Amino acid sequence: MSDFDPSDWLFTTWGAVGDVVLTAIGIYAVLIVYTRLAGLRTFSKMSAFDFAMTVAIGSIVAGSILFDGPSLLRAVVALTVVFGLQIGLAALRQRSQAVSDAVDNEPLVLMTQDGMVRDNLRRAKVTEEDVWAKLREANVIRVSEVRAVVFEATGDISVLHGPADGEALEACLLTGVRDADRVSTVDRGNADRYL
Amino acid sequence: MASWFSTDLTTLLATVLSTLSIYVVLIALVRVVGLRSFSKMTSVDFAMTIAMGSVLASTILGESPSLPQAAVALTSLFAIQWTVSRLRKDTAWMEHVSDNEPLVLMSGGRMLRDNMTSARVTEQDLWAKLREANVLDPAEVRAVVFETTGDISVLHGAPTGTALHPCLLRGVRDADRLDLGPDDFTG
Repeated sequence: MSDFDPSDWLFTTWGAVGDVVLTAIGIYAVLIVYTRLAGLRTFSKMSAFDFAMTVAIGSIVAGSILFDGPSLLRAVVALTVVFGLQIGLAALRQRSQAVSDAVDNEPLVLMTQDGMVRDNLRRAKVTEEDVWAKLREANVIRVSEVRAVVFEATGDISVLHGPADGEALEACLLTGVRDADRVSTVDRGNADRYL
Repeated sequence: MASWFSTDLTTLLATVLSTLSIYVVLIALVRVVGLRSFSKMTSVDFAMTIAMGSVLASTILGESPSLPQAAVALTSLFAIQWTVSRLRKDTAWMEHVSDNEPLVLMSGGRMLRDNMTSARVTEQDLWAKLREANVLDPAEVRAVVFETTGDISVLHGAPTGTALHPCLLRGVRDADRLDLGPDDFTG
């Protein structure tokens, strides 16, 4: 960076300021239109990559405002591709189990009422301390409260818990979870009654 | 290759200074705009928050954008967000234009398949959201709502416990499918 000039960092022109303001308004309008077209699923977090796509959309908005020159069109094209992929894939995985199996990580049991499932912890590269932290976040006071801990496809961790002598976990809640058979569940038939 | 590992003092100094300056600008904007700055209420709020973080990162790391350009960019983003949230509050039409309407996905433990299809939500997605909400039995569920922000609310409690008050589902599409009775709350 021998040609570094601090003034590049500190000054700008009125033309550039106008570009920034107009691009910001333009990209915001496009973002709203796309979000309305794509619907509620746009910024939700369900498959593994949903969150990364949300961050990507935010970054494209920022990039369009900051790059020199008339970059609105390029950003709109980029947003179109990201929204298209996101919604196209959401629709496909909703319609076909095969697509869902192919693109999503399968949720995994990390802990049962009998304690940590160590081989799964190793497989998912989660430490016991990580799990303890998640139990604290879920306000688990005694280990005996835990029914199951599940590493979700999104990367979040669910802690299913309740009083030790309270209700058991209904089997349907672990639908699609790997190693669900290691968790002791009951089948009150509520799944059939309600679904 | 060498330029990957070395830099000169001016660049380092400029990085530190621009970080400090843009940080001051950010704090000033957040104080002016208030609590609503980084809240998550409309569909695009979260993406806009990321965009602001991204503007900060670019400003700190490179010569472009320059500091004033970044300050203008941040101010524009905040101004747009402020104006839209103001219009959402003061007019009837803005919310309809800018936001996706929340939608009922489960009614009393029953999955509403047609709404799941139209919102592109799979059964497995819903089970995962129930697990995250610590639902042990589908019979506990009063309602599941796909919110404007993309989050999923799971309203649940003991099956024999208090019924869900209809006022909590105001503005939610298909709330009438829950058969909650009259909304007598006027507070």
